[in-house]
Amino acid sequence: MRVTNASTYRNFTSSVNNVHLSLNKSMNKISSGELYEKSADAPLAYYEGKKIDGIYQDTLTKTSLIKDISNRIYQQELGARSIQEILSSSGGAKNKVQFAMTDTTSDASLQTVMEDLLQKQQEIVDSLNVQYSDYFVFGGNDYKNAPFSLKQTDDGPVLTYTHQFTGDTAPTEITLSLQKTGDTYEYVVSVSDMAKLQQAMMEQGRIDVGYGTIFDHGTLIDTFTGGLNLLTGITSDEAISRASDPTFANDILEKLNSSAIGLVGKATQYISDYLNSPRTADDNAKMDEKLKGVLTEMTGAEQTLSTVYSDLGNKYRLLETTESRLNTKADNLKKQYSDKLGADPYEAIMEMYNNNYAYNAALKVGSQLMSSSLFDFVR
Amino acid sequence: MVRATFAGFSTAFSALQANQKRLDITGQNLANMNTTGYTRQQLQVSSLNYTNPVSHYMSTSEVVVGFGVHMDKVTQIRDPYLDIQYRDQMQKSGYSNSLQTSFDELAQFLDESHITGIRNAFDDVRSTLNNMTDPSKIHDKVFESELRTRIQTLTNLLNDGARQINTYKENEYHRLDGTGTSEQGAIDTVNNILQQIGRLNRQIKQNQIYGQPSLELMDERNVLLDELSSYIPIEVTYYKDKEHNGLAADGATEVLGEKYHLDSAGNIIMKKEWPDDLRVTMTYTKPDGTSDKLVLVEGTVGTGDENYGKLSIGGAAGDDYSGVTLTFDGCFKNPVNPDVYGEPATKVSLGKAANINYPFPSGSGSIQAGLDMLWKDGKTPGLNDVKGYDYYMNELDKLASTFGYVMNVINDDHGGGFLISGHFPEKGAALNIGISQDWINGTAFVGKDGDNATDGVKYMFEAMQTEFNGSAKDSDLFKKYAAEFAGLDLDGNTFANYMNHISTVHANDSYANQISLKTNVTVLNGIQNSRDSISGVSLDEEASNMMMYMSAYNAASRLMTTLDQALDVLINNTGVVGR
Repeated sequence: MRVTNASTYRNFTSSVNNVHLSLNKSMNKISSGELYEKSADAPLAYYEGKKIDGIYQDTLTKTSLIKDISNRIYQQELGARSIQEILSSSGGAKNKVQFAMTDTTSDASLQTVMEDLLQKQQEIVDSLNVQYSDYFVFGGNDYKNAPFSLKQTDDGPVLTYTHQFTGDTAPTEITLSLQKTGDTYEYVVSVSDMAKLQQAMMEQGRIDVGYGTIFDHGTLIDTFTGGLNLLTGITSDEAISRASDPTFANDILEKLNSSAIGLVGKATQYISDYLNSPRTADDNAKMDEKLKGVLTEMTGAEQTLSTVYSDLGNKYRLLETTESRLNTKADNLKKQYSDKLGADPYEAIMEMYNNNYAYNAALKVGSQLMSSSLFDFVR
Repeated sequence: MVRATFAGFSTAFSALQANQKRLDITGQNLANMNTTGYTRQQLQVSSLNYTNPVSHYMSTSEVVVGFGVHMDKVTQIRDPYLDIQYRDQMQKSGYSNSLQTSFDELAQFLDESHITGIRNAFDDVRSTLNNMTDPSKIHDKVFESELRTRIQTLTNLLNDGARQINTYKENEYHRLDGTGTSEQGAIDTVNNILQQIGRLNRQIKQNQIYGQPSLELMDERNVLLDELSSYIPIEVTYYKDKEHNGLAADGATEVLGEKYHLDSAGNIIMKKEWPDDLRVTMTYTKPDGTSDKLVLVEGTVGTGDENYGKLSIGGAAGDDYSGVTLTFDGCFKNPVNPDVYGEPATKVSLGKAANINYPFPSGSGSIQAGLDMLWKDGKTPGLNDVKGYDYYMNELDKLASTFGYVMNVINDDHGGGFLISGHFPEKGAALNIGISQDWINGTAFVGKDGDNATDGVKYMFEAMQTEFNGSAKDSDLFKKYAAEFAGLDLDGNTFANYMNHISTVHANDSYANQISLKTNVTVLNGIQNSRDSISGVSLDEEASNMMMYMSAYNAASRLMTTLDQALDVLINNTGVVGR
């Protein structure tokens, strides 16, 4: 085959160009740390890399979200504990009731106990109105209205539950009056208000934080604990499942009556009735008997609260486990992404040196090509 | 037979002349070593004898010596078979190269390797929705504002993508018609080439009739043919015109007088020398799927511009280039067939409207590539189908429309109204999609109706992760919106992954075409090397030729000196005995 100068130079140019291109690519690989410069270099790696990137971003979102939720759950747990402490600490409601039953005979002391119990009711309400970042942790869907307020009337304490339901433009106020019924006190709620109460207790705040599946919302973790749910120990799932149960409303009332705030309210009213009405010799014994009943029920209320906050503790732990799993997942995804699209620095550097040698050799060949021809030897 | 006294001088003189000419040609070859399209030349010579070979062999003398060398003609060294191969390969390379230009343009927004593109924007929307499923954030205007910003970013990117596709389509069309560019479009270039070939045909033939070989003009024509083959599929043939093809007007009866000089009795004396004509035909596919050929340049027939055809383009309607039509005006038909000689060829119009999706054989030059990108939407079954601009536009439209529809249905159902505008109907959705005016005004908002305030965003978040495949799925989203969403089909992808899918389809096509282009260019270089090895100038060879011709020239000069000495002996030193 004849060797012509045009083809020699053309092939040389093409070779030098290719080697230079390879050198540039390997240098880019080192400087960027990326295995490929464009999607068309490795379409499948690009496709998989982007999918991994999508999952990674999702994992990061969930990881950042989980911190907020954990804190809120923790606040709920603290709220429940704080109510329990109002009942059972050394200066708590139980001790005060006990004190009123056994150690106090003077009206002045009973008055002090009664006022202390009144204060305890308010403390419970304050605990139910606790906020985390301007968000009422026991408010469910309503983020801007303090859910509970307490007012003392001549007929007894009136607990008002304020809640703006989704889709409503104004909040709804539900009045729970602790009224005397025979020898005892019970909450009185209108039928329409009870329906609203049930609706409020059904609210759920399920969030996809990497636990459960978004395709079945019921499997996601519920981050709500409504104040009414906390007091009664009735979960939102139970409220939803018993929504059409005709006995449910009555059960709610019963549980409210035996809730922490209901029992402290009752104890307060028993003492108040004793102090404010003409009395006979056995009235003190009757009051003690009633207070004894309250005291017994308070242990049940403590257990209810204990169940709620241990449930919240479990949720918190679950979130911690999920966060840890998300972190591991993020690490794995980073590794997978790097395996697919990241350049091995050692390999890239070796490749660059090889290409550099090849490029220098090609240039050297060029200088040889240009200098030699038969004409150099013709005289 | 008596030898002439000065015959030797003539022999030496012819040798001097021939070698001088050879040195001239060597010089010409060296001078044009790097001239594009130059074919190396050589002097064709023959041993000179004033009697023809027949009479020579009939001579009784057995010691007849020739009278030197005759310079027959200067010829080119060229292999027509390699020309055919080269032009075939030029068509393929031109096709792949033009297609790659289009793919590279599309990569500017489809390749999201180094840009935060549409796929990332979907991820961002999903991330914000995930955050908003947290009840503490759903009411926070900051998060809704973030969602609006992110959806706006997404819709802007979709708008940009659609606008860019339109721009690329426009560029593609202008690469064909040349409007708005400083350079000629392919159509003008092809027409110029056809015109130049037509004119060169006349000039070359005229020169050759007058004995001028016109080698440089033939080189020029060959370069034009090579260039033309990168645009359209052509075949080049050489033939004798109808007065010299040896056939009567019926195209069948042999007429000896057209090819040979005849004596008065009709016997052949010798072959007539008559230059060849050159014909350029274009191969195309007819509506019925069969192939046909159209003559674009026909030798030197007719007068003026009658020996070449013309190409025109039309049919663009606004942003829609799918109706682009190419019309070839062929020139005179093959004069070999007397029945049709002189009759102008029928116009051939190639366009999608005529259901001709494959006007040329596969991979036939850059014009075919441009048309494929403008015509084809990737829906035609077959390996040769090209995913043109309309494919990517349709895919973006489908993505934009589905996203907008799903978000609006969910949000409206939760009392928030339509958040996204411009997604109905699907065609044009990517170009027109945006944040709704109501959302900007505040009359639309993230819907919070339902049992829980986050129900709406939860469904939207679920939608962002749902793989739509045209049928209902066992999920809460489809339980609630079975009727509304059952027919939505993103080939089993989520919104983000569908964008990833579109990008990867493009990357795959670009990757495959890059390989095809690389292969075609490598083969083309191989053929070019072969062609160069035949027709190119070798410096070493020319140097050795130069030495050889110089030596021959020296030898001829020496012969003349020797003859002179012989004559000196004969004239001055013969017959004077004892002088």
